[in-house]
Amino acid sequence: MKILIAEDSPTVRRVVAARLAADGYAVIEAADGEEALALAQSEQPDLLILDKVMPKLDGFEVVRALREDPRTRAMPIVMLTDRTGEDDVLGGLQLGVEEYMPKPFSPHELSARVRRALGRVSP
Amino acid sequence: MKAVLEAAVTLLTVLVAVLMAVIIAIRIGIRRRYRLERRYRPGAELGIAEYLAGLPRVPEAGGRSERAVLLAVALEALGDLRGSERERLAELIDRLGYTAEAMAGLRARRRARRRQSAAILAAVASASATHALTAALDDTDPIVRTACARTLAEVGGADAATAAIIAVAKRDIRAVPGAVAAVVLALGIAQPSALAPLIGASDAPPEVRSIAIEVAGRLRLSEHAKLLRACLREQDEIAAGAASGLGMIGDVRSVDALMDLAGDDRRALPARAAAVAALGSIGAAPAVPLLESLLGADWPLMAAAVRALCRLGDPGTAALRSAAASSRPEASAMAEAALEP
Repeated sequence: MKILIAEDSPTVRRVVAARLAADGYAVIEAADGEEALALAQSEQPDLLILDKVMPKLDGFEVVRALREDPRTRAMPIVMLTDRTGEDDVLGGLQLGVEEYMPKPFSPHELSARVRRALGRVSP
Repeated sequence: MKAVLEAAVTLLTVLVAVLMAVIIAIRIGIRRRYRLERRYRPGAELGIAEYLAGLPRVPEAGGRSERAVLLAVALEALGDLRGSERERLAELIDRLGYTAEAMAGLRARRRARRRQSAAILAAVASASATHALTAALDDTDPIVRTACARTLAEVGGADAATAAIIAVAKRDIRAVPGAVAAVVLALGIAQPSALAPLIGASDAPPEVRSIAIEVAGRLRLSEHAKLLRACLREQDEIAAGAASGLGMIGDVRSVDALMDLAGDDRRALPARAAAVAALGSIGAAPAVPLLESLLGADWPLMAAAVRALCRLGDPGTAALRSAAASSRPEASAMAEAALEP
């Protein structure tokens, strides 16, 4: 299974990528919102891990664009972000985000949430 | 006169030349650091990521620059991680000798080095640094002292260290209030009982007592409710904080004391309003008649009373209906607005 990680911090991106690669997933990486959207549309990953605050295009904008595109409408999304206010969490869930994971985070827990989100779409 | 002018021009030329040399040296230094960072960073990120993912290879760094980049990346990751991976990374930082270096750095002559070392130890929060951190509580720099006090509070430790942490909070509250607030918060989270000497001590500066009182309330430390109740009789600012804290804790045993404060027209409005709000948070139905009487008081008190009555169920609603029907225009308007669904 292929997972796209969209995160502007290269350190966090690599930590998450290494964890998921160790779990056996194929991983692709995006450093900003525009790249994330383009890769999500062209590569059609099985799941997207998305930061909320990113250069060029905000995480919520990426979710909106993906939900409007029939090719990516059903793509499960896990938000990984330090924006954990009520408005942020509710905003993400209303847009159709599967999981909302606050930073600081545990890569092990993220891995479990990824499994759960993937299980929901392909049991 | 001419000689003086020539000397001045020469001096100015030399000064400009020195200044330019300094600027060039700084720019070269920044470029070099940037170049080294670009060279070593990807390897450091990959090494740490793979180590955290469970690969057996431990990240290595040879030279000074490479070590500095590896530490910067590790600290960055540490800030974003929690759980077992965070512990593993902290252990790695320890194992690679950074903690020992930072402990030694706390004794450096240069203040910047000591501050940097304190920041590293704060990020790693290693119990092995307790001794060095305790010694640094006597540092000449308040930023170093408070950073070490905060780390010690998070790590926990002997009672002697707690007493020294409290001494730092009292000493540095005016110089670095934000850092002291972080120390008191850390203490409240890791060792809640250690806040007692700050809440109850009348010899402590009122600013640090206010912080301790607020922390006790926000963390809902009910073990301090008795001390907070005693604070209601103190100066208005302390009493206001204590009243808010008791409201957040939801301490039903404080209802009488809070009603005394709310109804005492010799006390400042913010303290009385805080007591009124606390009565609402606690859900103190016996306070309804008092709150109803405050609907004719000054605006801040009346607004607090309306909000509190909204939280008191049927008796509160009945009091608001009665106020809405009254001939007092402000109270009536506010009560009507509060009753709107």
